Amino acid sequence: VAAAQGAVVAAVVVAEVAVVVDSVGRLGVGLAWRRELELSVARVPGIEFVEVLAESVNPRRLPPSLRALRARAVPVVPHGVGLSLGGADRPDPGRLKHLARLARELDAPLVSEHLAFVRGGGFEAGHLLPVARTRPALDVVCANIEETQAALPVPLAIENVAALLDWPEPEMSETEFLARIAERTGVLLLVDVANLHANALNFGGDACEALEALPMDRIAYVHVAGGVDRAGFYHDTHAHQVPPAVFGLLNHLCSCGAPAGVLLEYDRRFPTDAHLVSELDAIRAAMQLAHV
Amino acid sequence: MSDDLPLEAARRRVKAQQAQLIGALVGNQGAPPGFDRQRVNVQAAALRAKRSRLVAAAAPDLVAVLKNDWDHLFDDYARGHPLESSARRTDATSFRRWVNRRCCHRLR
Repeated sequence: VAAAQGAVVAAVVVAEVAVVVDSVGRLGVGLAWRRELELSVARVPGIEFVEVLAESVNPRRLPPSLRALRARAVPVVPHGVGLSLGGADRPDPGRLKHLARLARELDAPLVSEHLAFVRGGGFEAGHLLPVARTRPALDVVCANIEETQAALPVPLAIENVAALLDWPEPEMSETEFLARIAERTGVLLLVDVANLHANALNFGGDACEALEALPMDRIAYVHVAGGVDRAGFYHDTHAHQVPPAVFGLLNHLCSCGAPAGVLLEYDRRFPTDAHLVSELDAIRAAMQLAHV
Repeated sequence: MSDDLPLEAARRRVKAQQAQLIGALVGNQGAPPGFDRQRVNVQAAALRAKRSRLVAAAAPDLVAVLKNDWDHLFDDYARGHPLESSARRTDATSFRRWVNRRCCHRLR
């Protein structure tokens, strides 16, 4: 009986995974498109999808290399950094329009943004800052996400961020916060395993446990990136090689469920093609764990 | 109870809290109560470093002129000039003007 129940549970889990994968489609192994990586994206074999920084692209004048990818039916996901979904204000209509237009022009399977705020008090932080994990903040984030979902022609996924500081007196863990948001809004998750690693190092806790507490059936795709230890803090730089522990987390995630895609990010100190190939191969190997 | 604020009240509370934290990170205001001061300083330095990299990428001529003075000059500038949401000029243009006013370097 226990075995039969196990089989039923497994079937339900598989069905849930399939639902998410269906709404996004298969993405595969990806690399973040940056102007500096244009040639690498074209040269390196086996790149099945890319992500583009939404704020850096004009939908009316798409870069030719992105058009070429679309002509080859390579999915391109607009990835926003400036919407400030975790901010106190409602999402800016101009930014929403831009994201929607970009998604249409690129025929994107989904759009992704961050569970973060980037401005406040009249100032721009210039980077993604963590949101207080309280009930009022949860309500505000959910309202902002729902407004964004209504403005977009495709599903939205939100990404967990890496933090150097945390708000005092959190009312829930980061994974619980993400899970509640996903449950209330139906938003998909973009799980950055490097950010889980960063937060485990910077605040203590077990990244593997955090991963297991996430609703696997909501995961649309996954980010992998490098970082560096500096004076007792782990900085998620997107400029250094991916640490073995981050690949360990990715392997663990892929053996728990089957994300539609896994994407490697570099923002500077761009590596050689050979280095990209080795990290993309490691991602491909992890994704195959899901099918064992 | 704080748990069940209407949405607009929740927005006001979150707004005040976030403004305080950003003020500490980019505006030279003290760390808000309850925050770890060292972490606020580490985050503030990381934000200035990112800003410096972006401006350097946008103004390589300035990097070439300022050479070793870049780091301390940019740090002085960034501490005194938080990026405002309503800024009309780019950060690189503002830094260029600031350097021109501040010192000896004559730049175009």
